[in-house]
Amino acid sequence: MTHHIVYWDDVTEGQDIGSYSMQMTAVKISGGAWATRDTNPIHHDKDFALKAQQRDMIVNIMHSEGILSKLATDWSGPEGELKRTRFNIEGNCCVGDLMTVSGNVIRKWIGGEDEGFLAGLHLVELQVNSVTPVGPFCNAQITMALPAKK
Amino acid sequence: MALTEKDLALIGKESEPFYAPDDVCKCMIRHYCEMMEDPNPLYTDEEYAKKSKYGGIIAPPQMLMVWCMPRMWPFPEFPWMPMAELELPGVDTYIATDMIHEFYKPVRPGDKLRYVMKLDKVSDLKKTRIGEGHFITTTQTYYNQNDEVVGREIRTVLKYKPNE
Repeated sequence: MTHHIVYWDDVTEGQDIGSYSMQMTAVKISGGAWATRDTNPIHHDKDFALKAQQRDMIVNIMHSEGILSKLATDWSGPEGELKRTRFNIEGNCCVGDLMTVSGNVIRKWIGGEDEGFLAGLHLVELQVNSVTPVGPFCNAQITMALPAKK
Repeated sequence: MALTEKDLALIGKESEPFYAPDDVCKCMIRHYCEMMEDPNPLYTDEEYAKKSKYGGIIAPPQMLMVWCMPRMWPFPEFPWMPMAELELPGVDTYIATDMIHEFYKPVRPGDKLRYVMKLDKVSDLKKTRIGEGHFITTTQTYYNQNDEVVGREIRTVLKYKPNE
């Protein structure tokens, strides 16, 4: 199987990186929490979630971050490397919600000498947002290193 | 209430290491990718990964925290953690406000991970929209079995007293 490659040279700031939607169900939310080893009952037990003033069981943080990161590497192809993620929760995502993630390129640069592990790399920063019909859920700024043409 | 003397003495202190209950493994990687609907062939396609610059399967970098999540049973004994020792009188509720993850080296099946937590900063009592509290910043540094730093998590939480 061949996979697409996004070269740093071809990226423009502001560029759309596409979107992805996932229908959240109880199985999906509990499964995502188990797959990230998160045993907090707020992700597995509806009664518990309702008592905690949530609408229903909620998607956990590592599951949300996984879906945002997936959008980034789906866009870049497997040659794109995740380097740094700044993650922020704004709301929640519950059973029955359609979660939609989308994003765009907000910066393109070559890592400077003062940027430590990013120095010399061909970098892009993505703004990735996750929303539900109820409102904003979470977002991230994701720094990736991309291959460059000679 | 202000920070106690004990609280101030904890700032800058590092925990003992916390060890991942399992070695990094292909099964957990595949279960993770299944729930994320992540088709990246570096994570699950042996043939593709073998021909890549990594020479084999790697774990999704963003799985870093997953490996070191504590077991539900038998519940582990936690090492000494400065975060757990904070007194912070008058506040009792946590909310995560900001998380930064940095990935330095690939994590591969067979790796044995551990992390140490450092208490970087505890703010004075601040007024926020949801109540008064302290912003607490910690850095979790993740190591592999060769003592290489594979990644880092810098996390800020607000420990607060909710508004009436």
